[in-house]
Amino acid sequence: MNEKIVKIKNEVAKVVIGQEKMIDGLLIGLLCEGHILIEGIPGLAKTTTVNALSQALGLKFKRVQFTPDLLPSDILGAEIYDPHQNEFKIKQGPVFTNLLLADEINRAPAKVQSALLEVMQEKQVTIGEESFKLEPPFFVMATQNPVEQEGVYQLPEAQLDRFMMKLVVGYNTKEEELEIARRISNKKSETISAVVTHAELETLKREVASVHMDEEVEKYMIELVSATRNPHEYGLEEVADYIQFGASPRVSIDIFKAVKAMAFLRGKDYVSPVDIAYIIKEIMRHRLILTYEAEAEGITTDQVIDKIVEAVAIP
Amino acid sequence: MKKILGSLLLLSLSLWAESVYHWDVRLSENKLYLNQATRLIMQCTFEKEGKHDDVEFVPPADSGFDFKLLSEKRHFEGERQVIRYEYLLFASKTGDLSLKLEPIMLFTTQSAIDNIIIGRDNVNDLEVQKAKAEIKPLSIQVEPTHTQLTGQLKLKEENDIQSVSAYEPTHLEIRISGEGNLQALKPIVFNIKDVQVFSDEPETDFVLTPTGYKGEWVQRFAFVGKDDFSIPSYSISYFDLLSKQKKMLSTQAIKIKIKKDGIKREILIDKVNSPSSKIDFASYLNYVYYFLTFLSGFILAKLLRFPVRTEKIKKGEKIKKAKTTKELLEVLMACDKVLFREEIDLLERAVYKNESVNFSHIKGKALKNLA
Repeated sequence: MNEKIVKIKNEVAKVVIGQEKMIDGLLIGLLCEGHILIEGIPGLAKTTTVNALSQALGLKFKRVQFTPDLLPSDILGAEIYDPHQNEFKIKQGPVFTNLLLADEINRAPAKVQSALLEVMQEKQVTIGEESFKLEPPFFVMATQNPVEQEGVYQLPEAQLDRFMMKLVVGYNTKEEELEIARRISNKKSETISAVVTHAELETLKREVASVHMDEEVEKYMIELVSATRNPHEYGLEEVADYIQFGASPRVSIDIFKAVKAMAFLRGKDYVSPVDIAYIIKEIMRHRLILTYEAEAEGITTDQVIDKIVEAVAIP
Repeated sequence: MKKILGSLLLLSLSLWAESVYHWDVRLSENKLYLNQATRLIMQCTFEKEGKHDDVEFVPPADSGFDFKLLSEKRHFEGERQVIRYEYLLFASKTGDLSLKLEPIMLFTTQSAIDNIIIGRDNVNDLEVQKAKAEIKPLSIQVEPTHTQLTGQLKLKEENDIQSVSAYEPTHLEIRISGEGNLQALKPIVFNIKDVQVFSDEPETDFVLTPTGYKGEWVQRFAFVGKDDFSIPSYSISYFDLLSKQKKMLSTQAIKIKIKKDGIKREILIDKVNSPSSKIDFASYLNYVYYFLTFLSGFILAKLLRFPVRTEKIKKGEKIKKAKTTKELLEVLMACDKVLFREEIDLLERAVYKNESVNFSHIKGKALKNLA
């Protein structure tokens, strides 16, 4: 594995125990400049992990707690009148940063969500008559509570599509939880240092981009995406009735980018179908729209993706 | 000023002046026997200015009569209001009685009614002036009868069986029907030595008519004894209004014979208290039913676990069937990427980097992991 990646992971591991899959997912997002949606019940170190990662990367980090009464100007910024100068001044919002943590994004109403997602897409903010380009790297890590909980606004499918990956965070193992409890009770406070400079991060990105991907693997990825749209052609009759809308072209783009990062994190210089298998659920699970029949029978997108991976032959 | 005040006083007095009314009171009979009923009709007719006025009548207590309301009606004949009461009076005292009726006349005005409806001047109660109506007392002569009942009655009894086994009940029904003061009938009580008497509450089906109560009164009994016994005769006396004399109605005494082959009391008690020595197949069937329910639940639980095991078996079979490293890689990726992580990494290098691996060793390791 790349030395820098090991350093970053070690720094994050000072405050976060376990949750390797989430850390890998966040690093992939970082290396591919893709936005990440993290879903999990409260208390699973979602915010701590993102905070630790930003410190380890030496990036500017800002956090916005989304609430039902949040306004778009609370995120983007606003024009404020300065009585001393007798003019309007731009007050930049928390979106002017490198790493923005949108905590509990589904607690804010749709207008705030769409304001943020517009910035995610354009990487530009317009306040009054002035437009501002956001300083790269800019990426958003949004956390959300499972929609079954009270007082949340589910993100529309079109907006979910803008997130490169959706990471579902589960509970730690018993051993990990014991270690967490011990660390907290001993009040050990670890300081996280920036182990990667901005230039080094750019180098890492270039290295990821240079990971080799064979044409056969590329075709395999397209076959996987295509199988979600035309399941009958791949002998997937058993899941055909469960899929209402297949994956969008953004999925293909994001798989192309993310698998290279996945291979890179696994210490390889080439992409294989194994890398795709490791990452495909995170990229596809929030973009497949299932039918009511699937919901009624308790079928999840993860189960459908498993069937698709099983059905499409690897090169 | 004084003139104005005087005219206002005169106006208010004229507004509250009692309207003209007329009472017509009639009795259907003036000569009665004790407990006999007579119909009283009281009708008040107001003149047209008394259209808002009313009457309040409460039957006098201790008057020597029991008042039963037959009807109360209010209607208009043209512009004149008519209020009519009809009562049935049962004479409860004897002698020459004077019945004094004192209905209360209630006088009000249109403006008083308006006040209460629209709540003018915070008025809560209707402003009413009350006055006792003066009605000439009615003279009624009541003759004694020396009976509790007066009217025309019939008595009928019915016994279902006269020969029963010991402790087997025999039933008797006593039915009194006719017309008169039937409300005065009291429940019958039988006391027979060594006989248990069960009795229902009397059932009544009366209608109030202008001549008194009319209908039927029924009481039912069950008699249970171990030896022969006799149900005594039951008699009631009443004053017959047709023949104008006292009459007696009686039932016949009924002899109940107890059969010799009857069930003994001891046997009945033993049967209730001591458990049977015979095998109770019904209980055994219940146990069998419970056992089968438990067994089917157990089998169902096993069957529900079965798919998990078959899934494992299926995966194992797939791994066994894999003949090449690529096939095995595909199978392991589809099965569980976390469980077979190590094996997947080895196979990946073998497939895409042409590294040599011990295929059978990896397969065995994967099967071991699965188990």
